[in-house]
Amino acid sequence: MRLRVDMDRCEGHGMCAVLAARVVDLDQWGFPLVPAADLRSSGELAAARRALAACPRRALRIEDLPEGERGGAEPGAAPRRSIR
Amino acid sequence: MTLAVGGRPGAPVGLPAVHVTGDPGAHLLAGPPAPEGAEPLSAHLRRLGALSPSDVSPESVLHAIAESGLQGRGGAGFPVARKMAAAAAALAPVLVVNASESEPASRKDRELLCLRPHLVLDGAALGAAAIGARQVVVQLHRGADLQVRALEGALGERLRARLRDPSFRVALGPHRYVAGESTAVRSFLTGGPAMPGGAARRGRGAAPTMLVQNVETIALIALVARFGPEWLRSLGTPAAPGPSLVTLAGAVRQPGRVVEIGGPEEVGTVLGGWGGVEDPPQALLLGGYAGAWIGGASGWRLELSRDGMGRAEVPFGCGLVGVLPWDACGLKETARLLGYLAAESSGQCGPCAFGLPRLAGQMAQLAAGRAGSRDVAAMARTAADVVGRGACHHPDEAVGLLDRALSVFADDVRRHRRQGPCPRARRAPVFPIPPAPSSEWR
Repeated sequence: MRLRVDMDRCEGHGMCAVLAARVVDLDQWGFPLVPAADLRSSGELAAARRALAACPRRALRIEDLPEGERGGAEPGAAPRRSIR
Repeated sequence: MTLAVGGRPGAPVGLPAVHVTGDPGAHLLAGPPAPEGAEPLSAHLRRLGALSPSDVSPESVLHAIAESGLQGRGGAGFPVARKMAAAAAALAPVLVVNASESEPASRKDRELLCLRPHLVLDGAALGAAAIGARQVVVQLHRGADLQVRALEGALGERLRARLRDPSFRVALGPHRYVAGESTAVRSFLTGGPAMPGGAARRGRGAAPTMLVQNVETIALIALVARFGPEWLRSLGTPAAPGPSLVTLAGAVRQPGRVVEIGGPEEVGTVLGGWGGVEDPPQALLLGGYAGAWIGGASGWRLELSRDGMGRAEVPFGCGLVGVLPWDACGLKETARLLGYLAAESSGQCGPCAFGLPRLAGQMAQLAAGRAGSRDVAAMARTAADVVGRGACHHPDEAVGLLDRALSVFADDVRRHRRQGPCPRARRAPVFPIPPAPSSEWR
């Protein structure tokens, strides 16, 4: 499971960095930096879910890409399974 | 057939000469010489023979494209057959011929459409039939008067000749750099802003499936349908079959000249040898304004092909070959290009909207000799906060350009930090920057 940001939706409210501080960092302009790798524990997943639910722009997604399709998808292609 | 026509009539036709390398037979720009302008339908049919979509089965066209290994010519190089197969499975797909050509110095899409409109329209008709599309949209930027006029003329000829064509429509979008990106085109054609990412990726329930292909790709479909997949594989390189169009820019004898490459050619050969440039190049700007720099000597011998450039880690992009002469400052040129790319951000994604102007400003400071090593480190931090974080590749490409500038012009970076701006910075700009964009996105 991986946390993703739709940066074209995000307005930098920063709720995610408060609610999921162990997963989300903010860049120099206040936009979220999320780990490129999978979430490492159920604690991180729970934090990511809290952030996702609280995002005023619904800019966060938790993706579960099947093995073998990671990083290989065509740009713009829809993820396989996505929780919004 | 509907035609949305804008722009001013009577704009000058300034088509430069076209030079073809490799086998002079079946090529994108084979046929009458460029000064004769658009090839009329009668000449096109005499030269290549008629091929109506009803003469060939959709399956055979799809099969030929798949066998040929044709890749998209818009920059990303994605296999065309895979996208066509996906579109063919949709209920009512629309074929979009993307002739937006956003790269300021690129002329290859314009030349192809203006000189060989019937090759493009044949390819569109065949491609549309292959995926079951009844409608074709030709996407252009507003102000593309030459292209609109060439299309109007060609479509009129085809109507009078009663060719069995799909319904053609010309769409004019905002003249913005990222508006030609395929997801931006999709968004624009479904009533949204011509911005990449969002709307198209997330989809709207009722929006039709659109297959967006670059105009050069579409013209190649017409040739593959006629001459077969082996013909395409006989040109280009094994990893990227087919002829390619490139545009020469910067300190060359004929900026804007379009060259068709039939096989693997070295950059120096394509530039026309030493006679094609005003001076030995200091560096080359390859792939576009959002492309990459390479040093003049290594760039001269570089194989100008998608795989040759892939090995050298420079993008083929739109096929731009720009020459930076020795009397120009690479840092200043990069600062100007970054300023342009920053102004062309759609502003949807924070890191791009905030990061690109900062990078452009930092680069301008460096070019002006007002930056120290700490400032260069700050630039690297900003770049790290930008790269990989946009809904499209615009910010990544801008950072790629900056990155290559810092390595190709590394000596200049040191000199500018110690001795201030170089006298070369006073030279007139090499790569023209279009006027500031309008804020219009629809």
